[in-house]
Amino acid sequence: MDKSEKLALTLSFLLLSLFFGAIVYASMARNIEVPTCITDVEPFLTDTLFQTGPDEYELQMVARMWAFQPSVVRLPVGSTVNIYLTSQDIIHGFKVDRKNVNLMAAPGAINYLKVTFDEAGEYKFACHEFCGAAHHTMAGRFVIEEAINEPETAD
Amino acid sequence: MGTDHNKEEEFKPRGAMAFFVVLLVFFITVYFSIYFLMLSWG
Repeated sequence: MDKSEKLALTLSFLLLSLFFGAIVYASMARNIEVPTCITDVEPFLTDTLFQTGPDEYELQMVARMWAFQPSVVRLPVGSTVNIYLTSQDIIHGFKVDRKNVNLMAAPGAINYLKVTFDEAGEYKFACHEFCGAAHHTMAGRFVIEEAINEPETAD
Repeated sequence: MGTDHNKEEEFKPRGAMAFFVVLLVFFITVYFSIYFLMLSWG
């Protein structure tokens, strides 16, 4: 094999190893989670938000044509939210702006992901899986506030 | 004939090597700019 060809192959292999190693580092050392599909629990049909610990909440969210329930979630700064997402009808998507949250809402299954809101502000979320005529209106937001006593939701 | 053969052995694909290095740097830049952006989102 030609010397330059061998060098190019070695560099390519090292580059791929670097990319792969960076992903392994993020998932293990930085504790980055990936979405989990929960199939052994009956999907819920109504949305709920409740506190499970200090600064920790569980949000059961339902997606349907063409809205999320709840569509507005108010939480204090520093909240960690365990999001459980399901769909009442067809497949929807769920993407939170400026956060590593990207889930699918599938009927008959629950998808889970954890997210922490360290900074105050509005984090919009939207459906990113085309789901029909009013898909573009299917959106909502997390409102993270400094001074808030009780977390609340609105449709 | 012998001289031509020696010339062929000395050939180095400098243009291709430079292009390849630029390509690697480009891939690293794109990959890690998105990688660190995603990490900062937490």
